[in-house]
Amino acid sequence: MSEQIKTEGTNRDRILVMACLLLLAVPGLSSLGVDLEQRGEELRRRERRPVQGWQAPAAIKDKTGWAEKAYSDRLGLRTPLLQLRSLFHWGLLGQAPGTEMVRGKGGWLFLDYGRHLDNWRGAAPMSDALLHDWVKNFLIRKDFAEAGGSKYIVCLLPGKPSIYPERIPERFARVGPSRRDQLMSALREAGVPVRDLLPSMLAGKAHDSQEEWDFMVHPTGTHWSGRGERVAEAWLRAELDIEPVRAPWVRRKGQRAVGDTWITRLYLDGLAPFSDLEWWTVQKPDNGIKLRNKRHSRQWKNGERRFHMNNDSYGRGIRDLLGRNVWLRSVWEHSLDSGRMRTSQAEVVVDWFVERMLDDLVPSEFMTSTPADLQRAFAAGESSGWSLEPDSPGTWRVLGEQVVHQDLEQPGRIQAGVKPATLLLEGLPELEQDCILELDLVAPGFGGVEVGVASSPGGLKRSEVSQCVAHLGGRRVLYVPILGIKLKRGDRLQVLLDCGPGTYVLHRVRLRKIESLLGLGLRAR
Amino acid sequence: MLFHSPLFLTAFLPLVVLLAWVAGRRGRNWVLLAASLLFYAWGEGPMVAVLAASALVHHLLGLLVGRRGTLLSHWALGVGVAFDVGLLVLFKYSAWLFGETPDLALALRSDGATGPPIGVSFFTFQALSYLVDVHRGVVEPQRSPFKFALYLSLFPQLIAGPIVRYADVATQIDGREVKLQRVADGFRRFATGLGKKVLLAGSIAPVADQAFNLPPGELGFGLAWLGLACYSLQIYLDFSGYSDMAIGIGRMLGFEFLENFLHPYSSRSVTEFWRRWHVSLSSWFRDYLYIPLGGNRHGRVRTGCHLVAVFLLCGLWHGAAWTFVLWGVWHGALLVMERVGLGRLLARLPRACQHLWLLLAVCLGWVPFRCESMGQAGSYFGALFGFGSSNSPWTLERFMTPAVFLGLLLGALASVPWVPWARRTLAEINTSARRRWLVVADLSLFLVLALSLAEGLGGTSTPFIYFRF
Repeated sequence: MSEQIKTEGTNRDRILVMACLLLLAVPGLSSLGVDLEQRGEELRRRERRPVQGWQAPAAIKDKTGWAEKAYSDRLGLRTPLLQLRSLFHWGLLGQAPGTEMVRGKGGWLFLDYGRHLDNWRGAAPMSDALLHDWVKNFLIRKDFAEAGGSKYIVCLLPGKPSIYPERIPERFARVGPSRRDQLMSALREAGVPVRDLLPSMLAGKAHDSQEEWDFMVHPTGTHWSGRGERVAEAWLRAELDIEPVRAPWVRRKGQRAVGDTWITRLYLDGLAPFSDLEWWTVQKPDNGIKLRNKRHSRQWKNGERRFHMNNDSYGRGIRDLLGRNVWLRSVWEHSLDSGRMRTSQAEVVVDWFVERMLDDLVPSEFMTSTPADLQRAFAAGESSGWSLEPDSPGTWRVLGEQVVHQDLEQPGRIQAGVKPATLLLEGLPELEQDCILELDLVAPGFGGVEVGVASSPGGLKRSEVSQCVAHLGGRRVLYVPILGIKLKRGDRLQVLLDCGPGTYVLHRVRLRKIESLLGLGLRAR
Repeated sequence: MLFHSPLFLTAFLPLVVLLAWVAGRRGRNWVLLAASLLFYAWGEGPMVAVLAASALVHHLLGLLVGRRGTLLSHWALGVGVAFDVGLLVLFKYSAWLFGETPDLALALRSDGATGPPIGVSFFTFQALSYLVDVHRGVVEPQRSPFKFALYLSLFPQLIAGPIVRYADVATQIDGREVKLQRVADGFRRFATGLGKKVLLAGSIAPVADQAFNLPPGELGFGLAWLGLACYSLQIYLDFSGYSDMAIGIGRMLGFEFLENFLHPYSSRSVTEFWRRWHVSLSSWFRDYLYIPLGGNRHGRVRTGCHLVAVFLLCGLWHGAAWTFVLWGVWHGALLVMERVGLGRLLARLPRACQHLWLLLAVCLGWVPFRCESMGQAGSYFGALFGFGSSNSPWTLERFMTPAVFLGLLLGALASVPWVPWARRTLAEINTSARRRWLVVADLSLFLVLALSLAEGLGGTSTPFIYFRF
């Protein structure tokens, strides 16, 4: 090399070239020995290594972005470099090192994903049409729950900005009602039973302690603190008229408290104030009830009250204290599980959503579509969370003759007991995109349908199945959107028919590719 | 692969620079050609075949065009021009002109992408300038197809310029020296450009995006002007930063590219602005279109027509949309106005007024350039002149964070020619003090390089604006 490079230049030049080359080359060289687990998550999950699907030249371009991300996420000296970045943003510019975070007063952090703070301050209110869709959706859910004999309440939970507006920077001054305020008013007008936790949370602030860094929320996180959860629990008990479990709370160090902070994810350790003390329930309360529910347990304790509610990350600790018969569904699934509701006969169905959900959810993502809604939208080619694939209009792949099931007594007939009946659809095409499953059948009663993917011979591959709420009885055509699931050769579709004991008469099963519509980035999660 | 991506900064660049150094005089070009094709394929996949085919076609045509004075030479030039115009129409303008992308373009773009291949406008203009220069006898045709392919695909300037003419690098391709001082200067220039792009343009880009993405009824007077100021600085910092990086990398590899930006915002007229902004493009249009059309040799009316026509095409070069046409016509009209009397009037005004005129004229031109449609541009102009929302919730305070303020301040500072002034001042002080200052400058640039790398790791930076042209 030396003979090729003319060494005319000063020592300053020499040092600069060496320093720059070292700065640029050393992270790449040292990335070979980096342990990814050292640091944990950041604002997003780290990218996997792209190792498959490089066969076609055209596929290379698709993979290069992925490869770049994977490389960046494994780059040597990543931690010190990102600490330098955080020092620059937090120390010099006085802002959070991330476009989705806002630095509040007193070193607080607010998550601004989906431009939550602008929505909260009323700068981007929901349109009348969107509001109408939301109300319509909650009315469907109310009718659905009440048709199953359950009481229904909606709890639109206050998030961090609603509880601590004084901690938000002045530039986010409120100019109108938040989306939560809008929706609560509209729901009340429409007769949907909506409950407000905010007054209780604001009252709980009287016990805040700045010195002990003890607040109703995690100052550098997103969620309620343990003390905030305790207030929410007491409020929910009062709403549901549940006897309190006398489980004492203590404030001590714990993994969950450390987890609910953005400090480490943003590489702000040592730069921003932080406390790892948190309120915890004692795991064995004095009434002897063992805490923790089994989310998908079908074994209900007789003689105890039954509730359905979402498994929102807000108030995660509460459900353990409500009793043993609380069936939890993922907050991201949204669908009311008709089969579960029928078999468990819940006394109360609680829609338990934090207001931040209104930033990036649209009603069509909520998936509370009746078969009639889907059928109408499908026939008209309307948007209902999906749209028809432009290149193959009207092309259905008939799967009916490929139905196999051990309980199939005669072709097209399925005898089911108390447990849901299962259809396994085999010989499917490879599908790289969303599709819709059409089921033309007579069901024995009220209930719903779940569709999951089973890979052969590995059993059920994904538990996040697509669901369709169905008011069955008589012959109906159900359309079940199968979203975000890729079918590979050998995979089977597993259809869970949960419409009560009796005989299902299956007239037709067809599959058709669709193009899913993204709803403000929700699916990107 | 972006110049500010960690993969480029920590793997591609140091590896290519080191390989080019150790490869020796003959091997250097092979290393660079392989690296350039990999660089392009990394971002555009199979479209690298189009680049390679273009290089091959132009090399062969160049040999034919080189038989000057023959009919074959004229024909070959004609074929080359048709090929280049066809390439641009096929990938860039067909959807706009004919309402749909031709099957051929879709077939070539087997990756499913619909936009034009990255950098197609740049490498096509380079190829065209080569053929014309050979035809004019400015340069001799390159006999080696590989050297010609290297000229066309040289990765530092391949996808966003500067538009390098063959005449400027012909001798460097055949043989160049890598000097330590120039390598050091290359790193300095690269760090400067990287900082302009990542740290300065990146800090004000969100405000510009927010202002230009708001629904028409929600944009108020204050934010409209702030958004315009941010975008005007962003596009300068972004594009001139890229050019700085390209020039810097070129120096590391022994090339010397011509300057592409000469502090255009410090101009005092639109005429002067176009001598300083994207110099490689404006001089391309001057030499290969304006002067062949007749330039200013046929009276005022014809000159005015030439100017407007050239700038209309300059607008279209940036993209197939009426907004770019409007931007081009706007600048063409301003140049005509300055020629017919406004220029003389401006010359009598104080310098501050001249600067103000230039900034106002150029910044207003960025409105259609940035907007997605003529309707949006109309609404934005309305907001700028007080016909926007009077009680918009999107106030100046909402966006004026310390980072934005600092970005605007330093961006404005980067837009004025203070470095030559600093050099002159340093030259006048004693040697030891000058050394100290130079060390401080180098340390600052090293810190900028580290911070920019860290910012790229944080994943908040955006692609270069000029990539889409």
